[in-house]
Amino acid sequence: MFNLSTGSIGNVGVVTSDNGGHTSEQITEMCVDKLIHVADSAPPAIREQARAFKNVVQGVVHAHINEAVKNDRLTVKVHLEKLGYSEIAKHIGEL
Amino acid sequence: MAITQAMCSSFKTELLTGTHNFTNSSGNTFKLALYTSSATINAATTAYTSSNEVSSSNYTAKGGALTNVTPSNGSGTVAFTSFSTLTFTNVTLTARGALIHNSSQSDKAVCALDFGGDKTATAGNFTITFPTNDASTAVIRIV
Repeated sequence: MFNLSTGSIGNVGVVTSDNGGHTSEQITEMCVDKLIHVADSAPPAIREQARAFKNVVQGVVHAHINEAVKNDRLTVKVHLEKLGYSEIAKHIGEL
Repeated sequence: MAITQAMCSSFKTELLTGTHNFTNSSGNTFKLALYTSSATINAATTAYTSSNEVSSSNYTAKGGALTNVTPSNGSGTVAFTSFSTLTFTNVTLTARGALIHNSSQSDKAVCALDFGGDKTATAGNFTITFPTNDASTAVIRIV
């Protein structure tokens, strides 16, 4: 005989945005939360070290996400310029 | 009327009858539907309901399809599974909770989720992120 004692449900997170997509900060946080989970029950010294490491990773990921956004916008801008939409390209570049 | 986070009781029975398959790619299609604070979804919910489901352009009734993560027990005693992040893009809506249901099995309910408060997106994105997929935090765990 076995005992299926219980089923548990974990807490989901909700991230929203207004008038456009998520900010790079929001994307960074979602990404880093997937990469690193620091349990509240971890021993204090380990927990603090893990949180410090998470902060470092967060900075690196954020910087690279910003670079990705800038590069993608530049690609779109140049593409639009080549198609003759210089005015729209200018607006994209100013975002 | 309230949203109470819970694994649906009918789902527990259906696990024992082999109704649900969470395997990635080859498993069933699960969807996540969003609800306003006026909805009543809880452990007693047995299937998707359109009652008090949110509405918005770019939001389809029954919600968005989830990407399954193949269940595992991580070499321990707890079986768990999760889903990839789900984003409803360019929506204007306010939701208080959600129901995960099995679209491949007559929309049978899996679990009710409580966001802890109203969450609003206005002409923006509404993203659901799932907790770390492990024995202690995964969204669905059989302990």
